[in-house]
Amino acid sequence: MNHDEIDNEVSTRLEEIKSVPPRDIAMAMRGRANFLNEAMKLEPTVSARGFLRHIRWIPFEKEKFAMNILVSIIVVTGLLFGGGATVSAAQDDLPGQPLYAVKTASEDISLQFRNTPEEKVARLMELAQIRIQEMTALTEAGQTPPEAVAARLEQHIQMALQTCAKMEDAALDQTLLQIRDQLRQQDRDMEQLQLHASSDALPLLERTRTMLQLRLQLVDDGLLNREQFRHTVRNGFNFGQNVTPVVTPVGTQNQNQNQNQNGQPTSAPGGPNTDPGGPNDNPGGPNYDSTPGSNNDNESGSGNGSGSGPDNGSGGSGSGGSGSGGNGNGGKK
Amino acid sequence: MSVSTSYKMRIPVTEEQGLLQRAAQFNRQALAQIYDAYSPGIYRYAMRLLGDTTLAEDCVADTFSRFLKSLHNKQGPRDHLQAYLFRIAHNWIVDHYRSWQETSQLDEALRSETDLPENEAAKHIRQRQVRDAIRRLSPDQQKVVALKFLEEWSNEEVANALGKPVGAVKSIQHRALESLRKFLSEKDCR
Repeated sequence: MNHDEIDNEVSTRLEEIKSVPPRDIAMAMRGRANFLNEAMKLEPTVSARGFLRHIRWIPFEKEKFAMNILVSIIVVTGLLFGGGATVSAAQDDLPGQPLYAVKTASEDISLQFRNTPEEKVARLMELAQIRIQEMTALTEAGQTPPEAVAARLEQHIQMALQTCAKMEDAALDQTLLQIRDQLRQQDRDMEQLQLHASSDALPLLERTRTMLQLRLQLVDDGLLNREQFRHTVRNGFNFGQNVTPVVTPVGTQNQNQNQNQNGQPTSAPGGPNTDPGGPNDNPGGPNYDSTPGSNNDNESGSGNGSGSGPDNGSGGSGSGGSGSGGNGNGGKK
Repeated sequence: MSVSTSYKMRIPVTEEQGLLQRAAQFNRQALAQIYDAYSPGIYRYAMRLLGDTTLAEDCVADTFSRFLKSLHNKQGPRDHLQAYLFRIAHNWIVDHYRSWQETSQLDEALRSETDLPENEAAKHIRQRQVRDAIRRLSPDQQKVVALKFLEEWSNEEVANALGKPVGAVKSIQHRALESLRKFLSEKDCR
């Protein structure tokens, strides 16, 4: 507690209300679902002429016909005229959507333009984050992410670690620290995602999280023993342990040009067991270090209440929230 | 088991603007990320000031609903999301204080306290006294006390949430603590 100007008595009394019982998970989840449902209802419609579809003035069903035509035109035009627009349009696609293959192909190509190992690792971890975001989007839409996405995520991380293994000591240490932070965040993201996932999606998410924790453990160990890390990575991540790729790559994923680098079953030499296989028991707490700056903004809901007397809340909330939804109760807008 | 940690944001400032831009387009993932990052803190804040799980959940729901409506009206925040959401939440709490049916609420609280073991009942009564004392402060004073001493925000963060300079916040804080000390020392803290 901040003790500026505050005496012990007041401080002690305030401490008495600081403890809060844990939030009811079911209520919290309901609140979250309601919030997202409300967002969907308030979301601006795609087409201002939506009502025409209902009265069949538009002689085709947009989703099945018009979008396919549109996508085809984009693909063909893109292929004919350089592909920039197509690739750009593909970046928001999710697995199962028409341009997703373009997206993944462009990602693979983008790796070829990374000149240094550090850049390549950064890009690979960026791609890993994109895979997590795709899994999140699909899960939140009530779908089960395809195995291929999880397999590709694993592939990105393994390639990043393989690239690290070729680095000099100093660069390796620095890069592993960055990867560790990213993997921790991804592990937390996956933990959150599991809370919202359907029972169908849970097994895949659990396997993915286990994979992330295994890699995190490998990175943690690598920060303590670089040579052991290099050895483990060169041996297909299986050195001294019986770990197969946690997320089974599906056939389509293995068509990737990097197939020969990833998750290959190797005959594990019988060296010391570095045991990178255990789950990480310290995934780290949430990153709470962001603080807003100190400049004022004009959405304050606290306009003029500082001097008012007891029980008269009219100042602070009455005049505030101007135009920003800051206070909607009691007809004070 | 109780959770007493103060709440600080987990969305870095550098990411916040991009996130808000996507939220303004009703990007579901961005909205979910905002909710996941900030709703636990808003809930804790409301619980500390209201001491009621149902009210705290209502406060969270209404805060985020107003946030969505402001986005819908193209009047959403462009930065300082944390301060923005806590401001909405606090305004909700102040509104609730105002509509507080004091006698019935207190009677109800006392009734429930008589059902508790002795030490638990005493704890509840002391907590209620503190909340009542805070409720008697002006809205700005409430915000300063709650954000600074319960949520452990810095003066700059509190100033941002109030939309006032740091000097004004210190002045409000000084008066708030004096009042709080007085209210808490009164035998019957109503």
